[in-house]
Amino acid sequence: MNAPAQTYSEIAPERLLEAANAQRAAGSRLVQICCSRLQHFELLYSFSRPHTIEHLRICIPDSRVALPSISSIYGGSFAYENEIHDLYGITFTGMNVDYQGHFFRTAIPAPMAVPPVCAAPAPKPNKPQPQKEPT
Amino acid sequence: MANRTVIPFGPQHPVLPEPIHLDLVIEDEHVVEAIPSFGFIHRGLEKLVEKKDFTEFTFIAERICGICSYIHGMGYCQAVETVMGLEIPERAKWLRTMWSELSRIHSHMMWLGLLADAFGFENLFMACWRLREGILDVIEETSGGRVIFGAAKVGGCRRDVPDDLLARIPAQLNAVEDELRAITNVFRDDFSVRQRLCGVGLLSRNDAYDLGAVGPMLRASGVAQDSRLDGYAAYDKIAVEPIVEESGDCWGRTMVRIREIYQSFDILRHVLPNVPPGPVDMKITGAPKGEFFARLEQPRGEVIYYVKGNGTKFLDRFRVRTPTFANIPPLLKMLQGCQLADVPVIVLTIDPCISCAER
Repeated sequence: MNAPAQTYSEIAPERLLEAANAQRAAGSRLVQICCSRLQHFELLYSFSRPHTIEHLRICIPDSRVALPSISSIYGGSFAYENEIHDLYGITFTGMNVDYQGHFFRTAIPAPMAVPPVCAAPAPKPNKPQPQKEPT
Repeated sequence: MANRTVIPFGPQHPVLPEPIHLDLVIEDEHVVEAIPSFGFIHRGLEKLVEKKDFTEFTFIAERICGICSYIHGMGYCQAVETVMGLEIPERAKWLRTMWSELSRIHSHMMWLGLLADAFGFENLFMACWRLREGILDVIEETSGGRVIFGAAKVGGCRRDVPDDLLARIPAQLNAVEDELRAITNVFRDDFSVRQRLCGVGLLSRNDAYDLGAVGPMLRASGVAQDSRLDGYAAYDKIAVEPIVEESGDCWGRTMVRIREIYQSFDILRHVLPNVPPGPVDMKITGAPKGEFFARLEQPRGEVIYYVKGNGTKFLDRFRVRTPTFANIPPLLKMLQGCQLADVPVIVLTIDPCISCAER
């Protein structure tokens, strides 16, 4: 398999624009932006150029933390940012196209922002072994 | 200055196969702006991964969309297998390649029919869909399903294909290909078809790249990008040349898809006699722990599957970035300034799949 190498690096939210500018200067293409609701919110910005895919990870404690939009650098990022805003409730400042929460029609606001369901069953306690009575 | 009018387009519209809604801001007959909205068929499938065993989730991944169902299942499995460090059997890789290319042919043939319907050529629409049945028959014979293949599995393939059946398929494909040439000649040469497609929905090379276009949209604007070059499944043993057109209009996107159909026939003629003997799946032990982005080439373009496992049988996160979603910003760019009558054709040429885009 000739799949390009994938690298992950974590950056602070305030360094996002600087990092996106660096990717743009290197000729990278914005592949996607993914938001994950773990115990915190995790955003992964993926950039690719031939033989390389780089993922920039940003962790924020809750959805009230606003992030800068990279749509001034990558014009197509507004679709991902509006999607994340509508499904997770995270605000992006300075979007080139802001649909004000009307990009995804959701019955409830930010439906994906609820913490993950802990579906793994709790481990069963060890059954106490019956003690054999001495004969 | 002419008055501006807002025309709602979709989610139900005679020429729109998918439930997307566009508010078209019109000045005279020209579109000034298109404002999209989604969510009519959002099913929360990504969230469902928290409640389903990672092996069972393959069935749900295959049901994200009815057209590229197999590649959705395969991409999910490939991402999980990479996280778990599994090297699936060689025969499974070749069978996956075969089903991927069959998916591409039937998806593109379906799309050609829908495009013909969008510009009002009913006979061409029916001819495309009639011929597509021949490919669906091959898919049914090999996988058991016509829409949902049900053949993907973490660790390989859910079912094997007998060698005598593999030997029979090329003759069936040749018959379809021979008939298809007559149909694609109409798309290439018919005056009225060219009138509706040439110079309509222009997307420059720079706009396509900057706005994140993928698949035939990107390649029709002159960018040679095809994820099959990454060499997943058995593509590392097959020479795949990205099909590129330079015109960047609806005509170019049509030509890219037509040429990709013939390219897929050629790939299948190479794959089918070379499927190696051996098992098609392997035993899985343990659970995925770690994360990976798998990148595949669907008929509609590059698709991304992100899997994050925590070492239990329930994944923390599964994410699909579908080609339709990536092609929305370029679509909105193309619609600016176009004629109202061209809107259905332009929307069709991104090959929209909203059930993919909404998940």
